[in-house]
Amino acid sequence: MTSFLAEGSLGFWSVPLAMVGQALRVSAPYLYVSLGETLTEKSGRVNLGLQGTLIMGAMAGYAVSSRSGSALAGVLAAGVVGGLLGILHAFLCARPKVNDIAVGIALMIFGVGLASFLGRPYIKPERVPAMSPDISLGFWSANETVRANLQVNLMFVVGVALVPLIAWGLKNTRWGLILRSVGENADTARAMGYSINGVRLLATMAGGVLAGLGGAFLTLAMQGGWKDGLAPGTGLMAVALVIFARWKPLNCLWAALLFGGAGAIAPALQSVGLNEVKINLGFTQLRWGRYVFEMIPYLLTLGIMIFTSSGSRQMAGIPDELTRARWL
Amino acid sequence: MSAIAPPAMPNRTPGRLRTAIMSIVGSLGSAAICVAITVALLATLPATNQETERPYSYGEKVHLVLKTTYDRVIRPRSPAARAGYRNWILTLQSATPILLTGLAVAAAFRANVLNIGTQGQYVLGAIAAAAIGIYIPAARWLLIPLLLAGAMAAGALFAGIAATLERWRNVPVVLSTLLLNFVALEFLRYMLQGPMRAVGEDGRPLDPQSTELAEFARLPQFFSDVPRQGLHLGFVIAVAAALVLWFILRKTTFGFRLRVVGQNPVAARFAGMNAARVSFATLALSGALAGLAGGVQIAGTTYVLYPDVGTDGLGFTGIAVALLARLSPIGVIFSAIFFGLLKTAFVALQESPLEIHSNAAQAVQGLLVIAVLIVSSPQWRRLVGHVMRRDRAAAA
Repeated sequence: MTSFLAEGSLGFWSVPLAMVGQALRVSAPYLYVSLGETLTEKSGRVNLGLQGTLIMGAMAGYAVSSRSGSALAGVLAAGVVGGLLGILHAFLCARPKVNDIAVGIALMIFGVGLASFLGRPYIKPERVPAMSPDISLGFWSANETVRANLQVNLMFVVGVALVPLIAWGLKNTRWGLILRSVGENADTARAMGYSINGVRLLATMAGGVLAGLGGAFLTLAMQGGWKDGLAPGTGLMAVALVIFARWKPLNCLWAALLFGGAGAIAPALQSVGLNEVKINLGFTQLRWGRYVFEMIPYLLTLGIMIFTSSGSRQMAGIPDELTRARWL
Repeated sequence: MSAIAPPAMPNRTPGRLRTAIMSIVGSLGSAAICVAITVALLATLPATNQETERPYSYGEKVHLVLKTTYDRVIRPRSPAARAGYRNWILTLQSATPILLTGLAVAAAFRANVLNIGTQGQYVLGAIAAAAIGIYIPAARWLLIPLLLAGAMAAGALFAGIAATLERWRNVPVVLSTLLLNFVALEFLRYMLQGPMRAVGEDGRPLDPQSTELAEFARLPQFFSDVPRQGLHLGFVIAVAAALVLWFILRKTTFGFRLRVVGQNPVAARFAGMNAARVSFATLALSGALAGLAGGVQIAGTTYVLYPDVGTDGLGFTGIAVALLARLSPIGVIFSAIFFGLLKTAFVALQESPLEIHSNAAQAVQGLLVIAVLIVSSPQWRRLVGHVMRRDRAAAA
């Protein structure tokens, strides 16, 4: 119980602080991917392959920036790679009778495998310093711990800025209207003269670009290097968070922050000396340690989902074309 | 006397044989495309010939890839020796768990139930099988069925959580099964850190893995007496499961309902079918198959429960296997064996002078599924069908 005292005597407050800090540090990939997926799903198509896009973006971003020495070049490369994978997904889905879920899963497996194959020369044993600049949000505090926890990366700030932009664009612009109408009722949109596949191609490509950028964040800002198995499940979780966020960009931000922050519960509890919870059942004693705490983000997400859903009502906000494809 | 020619039947539905042939042609075609892409990709690898100290030429690399694959995967190493078919045994051994998880996915996807939690159900099955095999003292003839039944029950119950949440609160299966994958992984780690952790003779805990299954709790194996070297009973079970699933889907009322609910829920409703109940049962069936995969893997191949079971992705690979087989249970047998072949091949290629890392196998798996999706789309099939008709006309 001495560890937290040495950290500047924040006491138990260090747990929520660590959660906020963690949320600001790790939520950007979730945010980028779920924003991208929101765009894609609003057009009536699901890209389950964003996990592969994320990992390819991470690999490409790191490879390009370590070759060129420029973080910006890496970020751009990650976006381009993501966009290309998005185009590939849209192209495959445009063939008749091809299921977008199947294409997504294939592209996920392909992307993750290709990234680990092509990325092998870039695995560096030593830790590389983060290449993307940090911004301090904790300038108001004299406390070292508070300041250290409130460092955020520029890419996260950009991601947060994208949220209102995308929300506004979907709601108030002509492009947003076309996108939504294709996602709500493809036949009507076709009758109005819009190309369904064309709109979905653009939406999937944009989603891929965003997911690629999220990948660049992983290697350039968060982990400071490329390795295999870098973020297993991050992209998939982010896609699932879109359902959780009910296809609203602003909710995506909250979902990403919540999920990122909940991931800090286990290490934070450990840092204040709470390693396990003992539950006495009389005949036996359960000792719940770190791994049970690690389940919290997933159980929390599931719990909120159960709490906010209804057995009799259709989910609010779901693009109608997704219901028609009987995806949900 | 010239008989009146029957009128040409437009859009005649192709016969079963024809469909089968098309499916095989499609699979082979896409396999060929992927092999070509892979070989091209691999040939770009930098590698130097140790003997001549010159880089391999493009042709030499392709030759080396094909030669290694043939020598180490297809050809038995020494047909005279009893273990001569070791490559094939290895292939079938790695095909076993993905065959079962592939069946799990195929069953669920047929009913349009998006169970992407086969990994979690597989992990739960593995935990249950290990627990039964380690802690329950029973005779072999009783223990092994009990162990496999326990694995199936664990998988089905875990999938049942998702099924219940869907019926109770409309929580999408795709979301709940995904989340439960991670819960299963952490549960496995917890079990290996705590209750099931192996303890050394001095009473101190060993590495975070379980004790090894006793000999009588392991699946019997053929072709070899050395542990883990033979082909275990699990492969036979998996093939039998494929046949059973085929039978259920084709010949039973439940299978019919399952397919109707998957293909046309409106028709299912008008026919008075309870779609929710069918989805529920399908998800449980799918979970049981994935759980069985975990049980078979523990009792047949690894003999211990260790953390890698949670991250090996065999449950997830089932999705690719099922999609490659276009959700046909019989097709899953072949696509699983093909994936097993790929694995053996890439292990061999990693040891070859080209040192191709075996994680390239995953990229190839993805490519394969993509190719099958393209080739099996109606446009392609029409094209192939057109060519076949033309050939027949030319022959007549």
